[in-house]
Amino acid sequence: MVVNMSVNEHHLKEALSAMFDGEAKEIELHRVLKELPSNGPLRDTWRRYEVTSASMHGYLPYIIRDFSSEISSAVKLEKTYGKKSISQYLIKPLGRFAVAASVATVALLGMQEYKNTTEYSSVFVKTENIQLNLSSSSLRSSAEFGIPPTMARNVAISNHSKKESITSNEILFQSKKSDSDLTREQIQRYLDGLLHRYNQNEEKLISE
Amino acid sequence: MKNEQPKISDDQLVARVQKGDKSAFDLLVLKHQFKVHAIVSRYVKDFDEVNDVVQETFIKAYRALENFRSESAFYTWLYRIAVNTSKNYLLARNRRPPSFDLDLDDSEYIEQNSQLQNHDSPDNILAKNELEKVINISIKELPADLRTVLMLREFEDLSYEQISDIMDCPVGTVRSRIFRAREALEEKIKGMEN
Repeated sequence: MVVNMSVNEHHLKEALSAMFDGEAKEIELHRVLKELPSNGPLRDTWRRYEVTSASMHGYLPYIIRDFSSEISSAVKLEKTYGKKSISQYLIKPLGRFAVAASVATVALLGMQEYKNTTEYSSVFVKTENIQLNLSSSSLRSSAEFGIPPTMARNVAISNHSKKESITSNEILFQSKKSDSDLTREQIQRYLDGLLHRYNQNEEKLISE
Repeated sequence: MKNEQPKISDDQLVARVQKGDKSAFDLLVLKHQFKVHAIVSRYVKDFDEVNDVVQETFIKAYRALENFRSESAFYTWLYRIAVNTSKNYLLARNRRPPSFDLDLDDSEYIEQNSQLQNHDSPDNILAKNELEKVINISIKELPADLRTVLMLREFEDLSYEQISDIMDCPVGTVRSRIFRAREALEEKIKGMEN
């Protein structure tokens, strides 16, 4: 038995034989698959391996027909798996960018909102715990309470105790999302409460 | 009875097809076309129609391969497609499929010569018988070491490693011997084809 073939052809056919048995290495599989579409003799060799095996197992067909070329032509017209279109390549990164951008925007807006409303929003205040270092009956600027001056324009300042009862333990809790008008009213009430408390303390001191 | 062990190469080939390598599907076709032909011919009698159904089976298999998850062996999955395609082909032509289903284990051993109606001409029968005879004689004429490894591989479905343990030789030697045995048989078949 003399088989003349080049070394490369020999290695390729031996790899094919191993592939037939499911024993080929990954690199051999790669080589054979690369070679197979354009290598007619290699495809014929595989077919003859099949004929041998079919004959040994008793299912050799009457007419040995190789369907692979026709099926290969038909499969070429079918879609190729694993390949993405350009839009698909862009969707994921764009999606990620969109998510990141929206998170950043929300964070920025939230920060701004917080910055603008932080002194008078989300405040739990127990007026009794506030230390007021005030001299008597002086008008104190709202800045001392950490409130921007413009917000304190409507604060009622009076040395008289307010008739309406303001609970000294009034607790202000302001949602960050509340409307600024509501917040101003509550600020006013809060300041009134503070002043009332102060006035009460002053009167006590004086009477003592 | 042949062991139904999933072949590593089928899984590798399927994975490659799923990643876009269509030439890997070519190899799957080459590997299983005779068996699929045998299955289809149990349902469809006309040879030309068998060819059509075989091709349709593989095209359907390719289209469904994207969702194949190796839960069963590739051939088992392909076998089911072949059976369903054959039955649907018959129903579409108002022909009744056989009442029995071809057993998967039997599908590899069926004698299809009794099934085909329009191609069991004397010439074809002669050619087939002649080819089988030549192959049998060639196997007997192989050197003992080559014949033994080929028989262990084909009939016992043993891996190269298992054969190397039995033969007490390296795996590379087993691989080389099986290749040389196939080469010798291929030359005989080539001679008949020419």
